[in-house]
Amino acid sequence: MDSSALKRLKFLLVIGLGAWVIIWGRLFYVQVFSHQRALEILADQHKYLLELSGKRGKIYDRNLIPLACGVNSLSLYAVPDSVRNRRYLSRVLAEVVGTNPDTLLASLSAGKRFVWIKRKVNPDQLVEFKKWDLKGAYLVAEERRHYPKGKLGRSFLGYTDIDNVGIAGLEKNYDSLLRPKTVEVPFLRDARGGLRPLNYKIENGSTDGMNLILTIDIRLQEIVETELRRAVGSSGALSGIAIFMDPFSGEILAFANYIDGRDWSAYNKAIVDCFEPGSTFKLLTFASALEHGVFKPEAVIHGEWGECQFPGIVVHDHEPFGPLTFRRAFEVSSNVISAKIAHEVGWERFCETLRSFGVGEKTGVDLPDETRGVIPRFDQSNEVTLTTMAFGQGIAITALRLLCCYAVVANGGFAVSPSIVKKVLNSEGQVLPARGVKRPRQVRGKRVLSPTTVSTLVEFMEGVVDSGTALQARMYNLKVAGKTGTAEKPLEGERGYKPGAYVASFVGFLPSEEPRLLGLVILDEPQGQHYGGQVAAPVFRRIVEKALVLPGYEIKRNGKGSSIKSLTLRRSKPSPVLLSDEESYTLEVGKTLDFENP
Amino acid sequence: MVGRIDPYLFLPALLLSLIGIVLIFSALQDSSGHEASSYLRQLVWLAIGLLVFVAVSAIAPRIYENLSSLFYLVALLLLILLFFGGASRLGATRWFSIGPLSLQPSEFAKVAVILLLARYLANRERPQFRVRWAAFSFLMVLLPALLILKQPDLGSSLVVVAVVPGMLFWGGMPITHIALLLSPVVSLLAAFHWLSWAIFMLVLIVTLFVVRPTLRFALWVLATNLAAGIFTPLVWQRLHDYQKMRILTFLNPARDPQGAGYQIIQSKIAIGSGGLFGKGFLEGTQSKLAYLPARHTDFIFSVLGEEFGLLGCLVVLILFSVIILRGVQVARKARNHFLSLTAFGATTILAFQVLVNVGVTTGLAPVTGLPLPFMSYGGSSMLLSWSLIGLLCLVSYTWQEY
Repeated sequence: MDSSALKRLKFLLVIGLGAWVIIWGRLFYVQVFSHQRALEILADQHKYLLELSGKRGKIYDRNLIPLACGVNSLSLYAVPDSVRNRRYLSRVLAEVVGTNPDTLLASLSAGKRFVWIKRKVNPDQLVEFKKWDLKGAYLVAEERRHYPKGKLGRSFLGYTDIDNVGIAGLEKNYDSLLRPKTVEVPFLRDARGGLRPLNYKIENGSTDGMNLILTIDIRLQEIVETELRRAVGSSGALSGIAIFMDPFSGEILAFANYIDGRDWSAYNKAIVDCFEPGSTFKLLTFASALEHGVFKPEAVIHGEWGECQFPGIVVHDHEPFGPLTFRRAFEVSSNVISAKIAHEVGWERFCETLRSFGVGEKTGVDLPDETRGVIPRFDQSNEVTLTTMAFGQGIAITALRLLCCYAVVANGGFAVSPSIVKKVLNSEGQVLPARGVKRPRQVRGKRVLSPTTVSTLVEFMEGVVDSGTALQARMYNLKVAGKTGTAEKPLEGERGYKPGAYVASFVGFLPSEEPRLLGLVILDEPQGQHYGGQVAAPVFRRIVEKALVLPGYEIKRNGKGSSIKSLTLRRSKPSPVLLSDEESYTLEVGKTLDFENP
Repeated sequence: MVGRIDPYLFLPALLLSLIGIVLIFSALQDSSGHEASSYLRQLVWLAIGLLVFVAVSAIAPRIYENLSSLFYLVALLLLILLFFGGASRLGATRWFSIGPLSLQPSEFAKVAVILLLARYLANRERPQFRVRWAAFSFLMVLLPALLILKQPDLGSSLVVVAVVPGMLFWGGMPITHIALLLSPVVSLLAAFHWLSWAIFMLVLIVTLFVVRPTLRFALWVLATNLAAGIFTPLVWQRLHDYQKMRILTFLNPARDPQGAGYQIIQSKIAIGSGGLFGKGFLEGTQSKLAYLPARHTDFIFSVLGEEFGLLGCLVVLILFSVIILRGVQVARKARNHFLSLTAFGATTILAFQVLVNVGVTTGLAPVTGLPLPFMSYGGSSMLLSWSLIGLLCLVSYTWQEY
């Protein structure tokens, strides 16, 4: 071997060793030094957490009749990049979903990666579509909110937006409970964005939202809404409110707002708008006088023949009254005598009574946007306000607050806090722990009126119906207690009252011996007849007459008088059959979900 | 027949081929356990490869020497014919389709170039190596290299060109001269900045004084380096932005992680996640989830690194090293210059392809598109690898005959 050959071999050896060192150094760097980093990147790009959620909770009435639930629907979307022929696709899709092909074409060509064609379509409508097998247009299952009872109760049920988020009413107020839980399910993601599930099981229904059971009885709700709509129509009123409640528990059985010309609305006038109640507010004046022992029921007060000068204001009556007993003054609803009583009671004591009735506070009902009302400052005594408040003017409260004042009387003198949600159940039908409910249920409110005052007031209210202003609320064989109201409407933005505009109202409960059903009917600006006794009381009577034939509302007749057998739940325990989901969501392990659009 | 087979060449090659088939099986099996039949086809290719191996090693050495010019012409003809009757895939025309088989003439051209260069250089055995021979060698390779580059197949044309310095080296050209010969390439890269180029030119001139080549060669070296230094910036400025981007991304794939850099990044993650001992056979998620592109062809080494770790890479690289070391030994011991040069050329091709392929998959070198001999899926690569082993065995046999 010559020297140059040896040199070459040495050179080769150097080159070879160099190559070995470089390769091994590199492999060591990549496989040992960067090993952890590589594993992190790997986990990052392979693991994919897919958000899956169950169904939105359902809303039932007290007898477990569904009022809001989800139905399966399909949403149609397009991925414009993978569409072969946009013009053709938009023509076909426009025919399937019934839209304008040109606007569809425009949105497909807008350069977006993802375009909704139409959301939440009834699956039946898409039978044709499925036959086409169009590239670039896909379906995805989405739950659509459905209200089986249609417009009934929609004012308090509210509604959800297209993404099933509650935006009004109970849907909004209880959104966090109703909303389905979202779980992140780990998937393996391949390079094309296809997902392959790992072994992971979602418990059936565990991701579903909570279900609400309302205090509402949808049968009564239907009666109330029908009668209210009819009354608003026939009286020519602008709007009407009717609420019925179990005065003992404060559970609202029917809650209706009707605004003429608007088919339905999530606008709950009864808790959002306040109004000057008028004579129905006299209950508080008389209750205050009795509670503070200022007058005896048989005390005689002069009516001043319908007109009386008070400090700063002249008070009129709807007809001239002479001397009347305290009781009779309530039955015929004399403004003059009420004002006189209020002055005898005095500002301090009167305001104390108002405060104990909760006037000026929210009732705390579980509906959104409740207001307090427009209340004079209790700490600044005002003679004129005292005079007008005595007959329910110069003070504005919500209809529900007014009803709650009467509930105190119907409930034997104890405060009542109204509620519309009875129970919150999880998807298995178990009652949720108390922390899930927004407001702790008050078993028994504080005492507001003494039993003697209550029984006196109930007698007075019976007198109103039997021989006073609310004759039209009388019912055969059933003692009804009530009070009418005919309030003047203040002008908007200026002093004084709107001529010829009244708010007619009636509040009553029955049977008066053992009150089970408390109701209120308000008609805003009825045309022609405008007295509460003429316009609102008959509506109350018609509703009650129809309600009493409902199963569970029958009148039980015993020796003396009558009583309603029960107004409690027919089925107190929710049947699991009703609550179990027809198509519970299950993740089929081992099945590849392919998302064309990552 | 069996006695003619060199076990140091044959056994590692066979082992590598079998490991390759196992890896192809794993690489193309998707996560649901479904595998493509490619590994079976590769088995068929191995069988054909072994037949070619036997045929190549059975032909008398004399015939190769005499027919080397003819081989070269046939290779050129095939490369030209490719532009008329070739099959295109992914924008490249590299194949002839013959029934179910498809073959790449460029692989045949590699063998033809080795034989032609071997014969040319073997006849020029003098004490003093002439630079003219080197220039002529490059000229002989230029035509097939350009034809292959036109297909386009950058990897293969690089292989064809890379054979030349190797064979010049083995043919007796001083290393310094080879370095000077290749200096314009360095100049080309250095010219991106005037300072680096100036330093390089300084080093070059000093080297010229030390090495003292012939005046003509020295002038040629200076001229080409000057030309490279002057024209590179001019050409670079005239390039379109996208062309500049392409070149920059080729040199540094990390510039474009979603495009050109994607393969290398994914390959590095795959190999890196394998660690010392790998994830185990069929457990590689990078290949199962299709993150590795070309995982059964050019990036089969990444599958190896992911599933068998550093240990698996060690085994495979040792097997390659055995072949290469044996190849050099065979070249050294060969009966005559022609056979020696042929053996060295074959070894150079194998070594170059292994180096570049491993360099690419580990992120050391830009993606050129070279298969890993014996292991990557593909008939042409298999046939080339085995015919190179065949040539080496032939030389080995004729050496051991004595």
